[in-house]
Amino acid sequence: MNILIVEDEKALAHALELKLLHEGFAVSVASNGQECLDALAREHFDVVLLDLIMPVMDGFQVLEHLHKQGTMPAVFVLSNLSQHEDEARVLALGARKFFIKSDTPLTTLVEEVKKV
Amino acid sequence: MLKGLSLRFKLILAFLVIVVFLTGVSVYQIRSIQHLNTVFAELVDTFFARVDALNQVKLIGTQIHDQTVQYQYGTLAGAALDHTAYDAELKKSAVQLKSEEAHYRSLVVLNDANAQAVMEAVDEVVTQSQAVGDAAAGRATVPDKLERSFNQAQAGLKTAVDQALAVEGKHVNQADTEVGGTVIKFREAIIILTGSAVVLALLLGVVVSSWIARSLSHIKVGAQRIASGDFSQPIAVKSRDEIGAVSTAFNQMAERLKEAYRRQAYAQQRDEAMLQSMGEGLIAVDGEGRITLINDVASRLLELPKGTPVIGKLVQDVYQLYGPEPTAEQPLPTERRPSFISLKNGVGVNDVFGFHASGNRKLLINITASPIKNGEQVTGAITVLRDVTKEREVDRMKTEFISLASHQLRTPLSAIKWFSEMLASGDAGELQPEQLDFANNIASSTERMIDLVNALLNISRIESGRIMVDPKPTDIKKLVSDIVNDLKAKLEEKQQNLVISVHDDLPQINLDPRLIGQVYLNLLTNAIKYTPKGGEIAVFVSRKEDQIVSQVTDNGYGIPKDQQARVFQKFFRAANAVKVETDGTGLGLYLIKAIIESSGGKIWFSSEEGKGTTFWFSMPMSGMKAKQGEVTLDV
Repeated sequence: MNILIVEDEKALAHALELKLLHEGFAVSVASNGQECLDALAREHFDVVLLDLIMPVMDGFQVLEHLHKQGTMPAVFVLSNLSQHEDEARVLALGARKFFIKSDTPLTTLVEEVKKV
Repeated sequence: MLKGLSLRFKLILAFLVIVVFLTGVSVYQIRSIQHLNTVFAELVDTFFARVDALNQVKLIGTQIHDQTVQYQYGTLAGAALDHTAYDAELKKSAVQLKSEEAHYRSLVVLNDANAQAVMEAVDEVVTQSQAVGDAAAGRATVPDKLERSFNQAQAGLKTAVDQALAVEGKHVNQADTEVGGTVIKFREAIIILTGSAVVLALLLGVVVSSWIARSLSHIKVGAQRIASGDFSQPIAVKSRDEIGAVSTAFNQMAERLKEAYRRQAYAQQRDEAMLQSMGEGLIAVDGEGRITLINDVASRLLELPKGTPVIGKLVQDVYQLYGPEPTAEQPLPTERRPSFISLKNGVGVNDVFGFHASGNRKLLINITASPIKNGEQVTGAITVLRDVTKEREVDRMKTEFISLASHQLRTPLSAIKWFSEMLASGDAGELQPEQLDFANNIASSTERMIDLVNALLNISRIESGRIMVDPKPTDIKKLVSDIVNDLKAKLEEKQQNLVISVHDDLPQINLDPRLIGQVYLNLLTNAIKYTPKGGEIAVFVSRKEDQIVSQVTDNGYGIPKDQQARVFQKFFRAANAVKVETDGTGLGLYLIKAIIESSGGKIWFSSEEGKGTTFWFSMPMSGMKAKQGEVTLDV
């Protein structure tokens, strides 16, 4: 399974990458929304772990773009924004689930990814 | 000496003096009249008695004369007359005459010349009548000579009597003059006495009234002085009577007035100081909306040029208000201004308005308008103005800070969380027991830190008052069951038994499930946390009148009595709870109390240390009111 991590925070991206690699997934990392769209254009990903607040292009814009395109992979939004409206907005744009990073253990994420 | 007497006694004394004097005058007058009466009565008595007696003498004299003339004429006509009868008549008349004369004499003083003359004349008549009687007895006719002397004696008697009568008349005149003199004398005395009584009364009246008037005018001057606000000089108290009492009362009144003036002046200065020192702008308007009062803060806030008179002007002519949105370009019409609404409807208004200040600054002003009511009538309004531009800005910044903090704090925490998780789970190779312990400590501390950040974020959101309330028909039984489901792991870990009892006929109620879920979650988490292994926990939800009452009971550690009052305080954790559970922020109950109370509910509890705790909270059956907020709680 091919997974794309979209995260501008190096430490977080690194932790996710390590965990998913450890679990035996193929992992790529993009550090902003633009890189994410570029990577999605280049190759196929089964799962995208998407951060929301990023430089250059944020996660909302990525979702809006994918939503418009109609080519939506399984997107799990991982954010530290915890407002209800943010969650509602990303779900409306087609994301599978919304996780607050600090409240979510990596094992939970791995389980969700495995479900896909 | 008179100073000590009351005014009443002074007046009574003055009238007593007049009365005594008048009584004296009257007594004198009565006595004078009595005297006159005596003199007059005496005069009348003696005079009439003597005149009577004299007339009696005269009458009998005339009788004798008549008898004689009758007899004479009889004899002359040759009638056979009884001379013996004539003689007897004469004798009888003489006796009568003598006795009347004696009576007369008894009425006059001794040796009175007139009485002497009358007596002699009577004696002569008596003598003559005897002679005539004797003569008549012997013969048919009385000798001429004898007749002549008898006539003479009779004439003499008449003369003597007339003379005596004349003398008596003279006496009467004399007495009359005497009485007249006395009357005049008395009259003069009475006029003088009455006159002096009147003068005395007038004098006393003038003295007393002028004395009262003087005292009163003294008080009047003092009262006018007090009325003009000069309390420096009390009215001198010159007597101890009513006037003195009035003066004293006036002085006391002046003292009180002085104190009241002082207090009023103080209150006025205090109000003025308060008005000028208060942070808010204040404008008072009358019933027509004309400004009656404005403080410096309001003048500054509304940028009214210094020295421009605004008192008496219509408030809408002095400054304009706009809508609170920054795009508002048209001033509010007068009828939508807060003071106008207050004046018209007699209600308070509290809202935020826009104000266009110099330099194209658009201020936000919170205006509270309250009507001034006189009974039902609205006589004016007070508007309090507060510049909330900065406050709103700070509010906005706070929201931004919360979102920033949530992002910025949570990011490194997430990294620690994930790396310590991987470390502990052996992703980087199997750990030694001590290394594993360290990793677990890092992980649990990170969890606490994350909880704390979450709780703080929620609290700052709820304290901002901008929490969104999004009620929807909620099945409480399902809500509670879902939460209990999430807590299953923890319950199993502590081998606790949990009972849920929800009234079957409970309808769906309009609640924000996220907010109310937070309340149940918090109460249940606490119950699990602070109840030892194998404990009992129960949730009951029932309807009481127009309220839904939820109850969460445990048989855990309980809350010490001396700490119960602080249970809902921020960061409070009970001493016994801290000992058994180091985990916990002390923010949970504070947060849910805020949630419950902001939705029109109540929360309370009962607890005994070592026996357990029960929390209750109520929600109106009508449900929560929807509120367009800007933030939601993290759940």
